[in-house]
Amino acid sequence: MSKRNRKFRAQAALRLIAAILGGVLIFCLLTRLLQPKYYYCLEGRSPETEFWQSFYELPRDSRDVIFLGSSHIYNAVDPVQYEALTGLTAFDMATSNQDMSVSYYLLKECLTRQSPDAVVLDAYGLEMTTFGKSSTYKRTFDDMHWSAAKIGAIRDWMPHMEGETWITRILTILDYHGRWEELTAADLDGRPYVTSRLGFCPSDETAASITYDGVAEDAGEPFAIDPEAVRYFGLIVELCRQEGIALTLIKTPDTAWTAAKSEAAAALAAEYGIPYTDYNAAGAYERIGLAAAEDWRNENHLNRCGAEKFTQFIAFHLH
Amino acid sequence: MTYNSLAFLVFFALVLILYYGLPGRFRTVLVLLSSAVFYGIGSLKVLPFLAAFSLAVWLFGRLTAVRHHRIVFVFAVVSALLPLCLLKYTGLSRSFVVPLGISYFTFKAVSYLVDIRRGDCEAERDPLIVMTYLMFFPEIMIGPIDRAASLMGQLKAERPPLRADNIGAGALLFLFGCLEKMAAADRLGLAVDLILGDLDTYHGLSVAAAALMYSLQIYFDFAGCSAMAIGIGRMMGFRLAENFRQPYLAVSVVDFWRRWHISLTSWLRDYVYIPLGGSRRGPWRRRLNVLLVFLVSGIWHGAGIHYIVWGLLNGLFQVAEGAVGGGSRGRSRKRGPLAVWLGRGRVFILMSAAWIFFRAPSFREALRILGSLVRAGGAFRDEAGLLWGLSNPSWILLLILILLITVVDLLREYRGISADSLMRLPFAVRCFIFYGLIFSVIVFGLYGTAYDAAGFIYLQY
Repeated sequence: MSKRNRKFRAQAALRLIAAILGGVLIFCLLTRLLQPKYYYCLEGRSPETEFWQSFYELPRDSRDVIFLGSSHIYNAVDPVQYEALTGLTAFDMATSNQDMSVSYYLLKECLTRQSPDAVVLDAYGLEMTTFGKSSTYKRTFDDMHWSAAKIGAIRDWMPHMEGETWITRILTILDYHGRWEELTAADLDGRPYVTSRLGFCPSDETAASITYDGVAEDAGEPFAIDPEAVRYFGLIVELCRQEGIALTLIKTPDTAWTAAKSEAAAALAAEYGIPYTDYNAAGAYERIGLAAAEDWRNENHLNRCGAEKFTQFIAFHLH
Repeated sequence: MTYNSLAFLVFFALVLILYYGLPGRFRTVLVLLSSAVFYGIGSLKVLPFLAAFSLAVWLFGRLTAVRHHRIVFVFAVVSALLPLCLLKYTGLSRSFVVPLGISYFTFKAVSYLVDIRRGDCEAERDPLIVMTYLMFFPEIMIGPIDRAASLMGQLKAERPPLRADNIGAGALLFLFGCLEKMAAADRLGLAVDLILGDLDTYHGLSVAAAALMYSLQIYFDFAGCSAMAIGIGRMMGFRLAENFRQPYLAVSVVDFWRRWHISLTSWLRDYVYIPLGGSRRGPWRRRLNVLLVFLVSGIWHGAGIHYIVWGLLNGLFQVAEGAVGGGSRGRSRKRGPLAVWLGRGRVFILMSAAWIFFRAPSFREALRILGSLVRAGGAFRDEAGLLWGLSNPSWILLLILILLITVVDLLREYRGISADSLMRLPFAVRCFIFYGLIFSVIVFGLYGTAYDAAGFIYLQY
């Protein structure tokens, strides 16, 4: 082949490579643009996009305590305040409607970058039906970096997500392409999030009227925990044992948490030898200092004021 | 498995790798196996029927060539048509799996046998070639209906080397077809289905709009799929028959039918119209033959009266044009631009009126649609404020797509642009076009769990 031909072919090859790389870049940018974003600071609700951005910005091996759970955790526990009171660094690994399977995989992901001494797990996941909604999975895991934990989560969730395939979870643009009609400023702004709250999402809403007399009464029927929730709880326990992490099960203040649910959670915790504290037990709200008219966002979430009181309480009483 | 599905993209990528990776002598076998797999993914049960049918056509072709008895030929053609007629027009389709594209491979079989009889084509010695010709997967869903001499000739020729212009031009056609189908046709379909599915709410102007939108929908859908098929064939080095030539730029109904579903129209011309006598037996017989051809076309689409009415309407339009000198006879007349565009407008309106019978599920429903055209009142927006079910951004997108496709059609018509001519543009421009098409399809196409994935309109025929 002549020198000129070689040069021509090399140029053509370089152009092709540049074109392919350019196409991949555009594809990634479009995927990012069209994927839904969840910014608590903008919408005051689901914080998943912001949550992952906060998590991945943490210095490695910098957290002493991980609070693991759903919105019950991210509304109630302020890691910044917790650190100020205890000297222990913390983070809320908490997303909306986080069931036990999600908690397990979030913890797995967490342990690839952090080495906490303690994990505090909220028991609300035991009340939930595991693999409830595919929207929960997507909202939580779409922004997670690709890892063994994410692959495991997709594998476990896939049979429960109707109409979803591995392709749509890998190439999420195929799922979200229709969002071009709904793009907002938040989609175009690269960084509208706040990471300094370390997963904490305080609510400034105050419920009009919350009434409670300690743990809510129920009909006396035993509460049956979803078997999948039990299974993933067991996996969380096992994972913590393997890593030498002290695991504690708690129930954050929640006026809808019944005695039956508490007994079921207590029994499960006892079965695995895990300490369990129910912050809805008789007199707990008074000890924490919660006021019905001031500290609640709704019947099962604390607001900013309630979170401050609760965080202060557990800072001195949890360990 | 439709051409615009992920499964097909994976399938075709594998086929292409094997097609160019294996020695050329395996070409026919590979294409045949690929076609068998394509069918088999839909239903394995049809494969024995297809194999038997293809072998029968091959055998009849050989017999027709060596024995010139008319009875052999007639028996062969009737045998070829029988499965289509039985499965389409009797209740047998409830008991048997109807092979995908049964019409298209039946038409190909009939054209092969008739061409042998006429001496336009040699009877193929190799049964694999005949099987591959009939089952050729790029054409099996909605055509084009390639003639044996053309496609078999290409199958027997040496496989062209892997060339950037074949891959590029083919991919361009495929992507443009996807855009027409998935972004434009399917989106129009949402509005049309909404309006025509609820005539109590939507009538008057809404129905008129639906009729016009359906004219565009069926064109984008059918032409889009044809472009995909031709693009797929081109990527494998095959030159398939052109199927659409800017039909809504036709200045007469006669002209329209030279541009719409060209492979079927020419098939009807060569195997129905000409055997009936064509235009050789006087003007009245010619008009009758035209009506008969469109009657056959209507019946082929389905056994319903509305299809027959649709066919006859088109036939009447042509006959009427011929009578006033506006049809093919007028083609050679030079027309000024105003006359040309008025003619195009007239054709579009006439075809839109006829398409109502095609779109309706029954004759009665077609009359109901026509009746609702003249009803006053009717809604345009729903409670959510959507105009005919689509958001404002969707309407803007549709207008842009319709404009884009119109510009492309005009460039094809007046400047002769083609996929090949676009492949001669500078590299950066080609990249822009390719990526524009790819990302437009990905972002604006209607697919996924959020949408009820629309099949190709002509797949059912």
